[in-house]
Amino acid sequence: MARKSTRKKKANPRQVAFTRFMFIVAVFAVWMLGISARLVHLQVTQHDWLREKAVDQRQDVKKSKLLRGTIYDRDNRPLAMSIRVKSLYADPTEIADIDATAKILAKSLKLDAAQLSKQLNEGKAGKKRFVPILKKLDEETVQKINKTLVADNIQKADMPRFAGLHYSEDQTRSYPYGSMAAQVIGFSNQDDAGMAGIEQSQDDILHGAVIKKLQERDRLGRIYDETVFERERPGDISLTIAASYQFKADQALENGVKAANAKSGMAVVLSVKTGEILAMSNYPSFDPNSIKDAVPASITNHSIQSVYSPGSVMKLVTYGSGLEKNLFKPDDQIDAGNGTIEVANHKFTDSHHVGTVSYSQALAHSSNVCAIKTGLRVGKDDFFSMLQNMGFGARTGVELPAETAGILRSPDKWNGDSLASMSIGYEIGVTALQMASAFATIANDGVRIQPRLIKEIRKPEQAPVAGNKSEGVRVVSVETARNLRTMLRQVVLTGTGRRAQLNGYTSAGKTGTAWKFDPVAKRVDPSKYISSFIGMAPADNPEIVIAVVIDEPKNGARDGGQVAAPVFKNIAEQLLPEMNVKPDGSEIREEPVAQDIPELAPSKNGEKGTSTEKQGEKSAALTAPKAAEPKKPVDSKKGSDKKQGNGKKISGDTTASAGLPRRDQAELVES
Amino acid sequence: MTKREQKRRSITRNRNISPAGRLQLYVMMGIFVAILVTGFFFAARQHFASIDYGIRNSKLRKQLDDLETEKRRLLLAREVSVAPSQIKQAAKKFGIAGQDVEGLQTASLAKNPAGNPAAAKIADTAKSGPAYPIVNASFTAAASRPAKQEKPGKDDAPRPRVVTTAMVAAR
Repeated sequence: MARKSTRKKKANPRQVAFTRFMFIVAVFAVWMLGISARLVHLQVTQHDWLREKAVDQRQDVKKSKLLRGTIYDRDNRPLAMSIRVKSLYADPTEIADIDATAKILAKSLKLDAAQLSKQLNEGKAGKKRFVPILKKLDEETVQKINKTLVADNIQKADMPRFAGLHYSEDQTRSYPYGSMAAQVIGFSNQDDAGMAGIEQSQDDILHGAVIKKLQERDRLGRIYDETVFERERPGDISLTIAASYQFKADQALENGVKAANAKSGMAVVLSVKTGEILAMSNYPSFDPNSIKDAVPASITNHSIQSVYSPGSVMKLVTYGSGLEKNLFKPDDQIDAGNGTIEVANHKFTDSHHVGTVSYSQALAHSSNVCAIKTGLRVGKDDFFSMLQNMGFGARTGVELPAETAGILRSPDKWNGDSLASMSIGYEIGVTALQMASAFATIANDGVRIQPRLIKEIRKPEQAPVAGNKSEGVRVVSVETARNLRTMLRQVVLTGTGRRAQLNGYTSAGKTGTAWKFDPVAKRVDPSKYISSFIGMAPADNPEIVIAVVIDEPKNGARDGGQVAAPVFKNIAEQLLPEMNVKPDGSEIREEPVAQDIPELAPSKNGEKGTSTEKQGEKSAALTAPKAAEPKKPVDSKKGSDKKQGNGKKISGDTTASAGLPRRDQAELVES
Repeated sequence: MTKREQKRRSITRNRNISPAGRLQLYVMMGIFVAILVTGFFFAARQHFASIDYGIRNSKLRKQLDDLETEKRRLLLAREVSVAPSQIKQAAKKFGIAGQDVEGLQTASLAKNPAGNPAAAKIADTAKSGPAYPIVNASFTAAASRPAKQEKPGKDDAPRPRVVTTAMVAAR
């Protein structure tokens, strides 16, 4: 017993407690060790897999493009703008029953079930998480889809409430004014890349960068944190064209082309003092909102991309060169002889001879012989120099893609008759904008200003940057420019451009008519014309220059005075009051059209035709001189008592008072 | 003094803490635990509040984006509706500008206004200014009239501006 108690005493309770404590500690240590080992295993060997899974559950990276910049007109009206739309896509990994889902989707969205099922199955097999279903949906359609696609018992934060379906952000380009100035604005493709016009030339500024959004989501898919990786926002572009002016020019051109039953037409309105293009029309046009329906030919901006022979409009340069060299004054007399001139075995003929007239009247009646004589007096080098100074043979530098420089051969490549031909607007290829720019130079007292289309560029958080403003370059003296304007005024008052007389305003300009070159036959086609009128208003202090070119008019008389001048008149009469230009003329009470003088042109005799064929091989822009216009009955009563554009009555011997003898006046009227 | 004795004394020392001191110890422990729990509580609350704010924030941001999109869409719709071609179409629909009011045609109308009062009216309006006021007037008239009175024909249907390939498919 005593021994037993001794043994009991030996079992020290402290020792027991310590042992038990240590046992518990050991258990904890093993437990901790086990957990640590597991943690090490998970975090070291399975780190990537776990991380991926965690990120996948929690984070979402969304990529979207910043909205493409807006193109405005000069009055801040959006001509092209992008808006957000949505695209519907499926995440096949979130869809349990692909076939059943495909059937429901196909039924609701009117899609092909088999095709959709195939796409989704392929996506699931390839672990793709983005299978596009419908692209660029507008809000209305999105709402419709959201109502249609609602699954029961689904916990999903985003729309539509259907497993595996999501929306991605997208954008679409819209052109609110449709076909208006379509060739100038251009269009962009599905990938937001500019394909034509300003959209193409200014793509660097307009293009929206791709931005990344890192979204943290909770278990219901709700975003609770978002990090946006910002990129520079695209800029907006403000153009010099005004929607109102453009519309009026478009309408006038369309009416003109339709009235003449022509193939196409173009019109350019330039601000004389700033070089700003206020309107640039092409007809037929296209609607950039539905580019698939557009005819490729109508997408081309013919005003800067197509070259044509200007015909008599080029006489501006011919007489301008002569005036600049002080070879004559507008009132000096020039003899057109018998209406025929031969240069390098090439016979140029007036459709009716004008006899001895002043230079003003020679231009007014568009005498080829007088223009050729003047050109020959000017000489090759000076004439070529003047052409270059006026901007021919070089791009104008307008901010549009694919501008052509036109065709201007250097004098060493000219033929014997080239100077004569070029004096009357053949053997040279120009664009409508080049011609308008040349006339604007004269309107601007001889200072040439580069035409421009961009008013300003606006970038976010930066002051607007003005478009390219070039310094003016003096081409001719102020006196020469004024004299030319006086001569051009006579064209409208007494010459071939009388249909360009304006109500309330004075105007000046020049008509032009040329045969078209047939590239297939490699010769001019006498049945196809290009008729033009380029003018300015008001005549004394011009604010605008308007160039109108009508391609292949078919109805009635097809010369520029008949076809293009009324379009000029229509545009100018609408634009000038809107531009707050003070009227400087009186209202026309009577249309002075009954006694129109057809524009003079070289006759199509055999000699000329042969020569033109020879030239035609050299350049597609070359065209032969045109035939005489159809004769018109003479209204002697009106001829003896007519009114000028300024409303003042002038006596019957108008032409005589302007330097044309009464005898020749009769011939002129009869021709 | 043996080691055992030393241990015993130290234990005795602990046992000799007075009840007041023990209470103080418990209070202190209680306070520290309370601070710790409160800290955890507030931290948790802040965590969930931040998530809640984050969710609200993202919702507001989305709302802002949606409103911005809507604003642009409405701006576009406005521009489409004031586009001259649309106004012209609307005017035609209501028979106000059945004839073209462009200069060339108004000029021809002006030649013989006496024979046609309507033509004379158009010509007079055209004389006083550009064609816009006429078009604007017609648009105002169109807007003031109830839309139900006119059933737009196929040609008059407004052209959708948003790319519609998907829309067509959706229908």
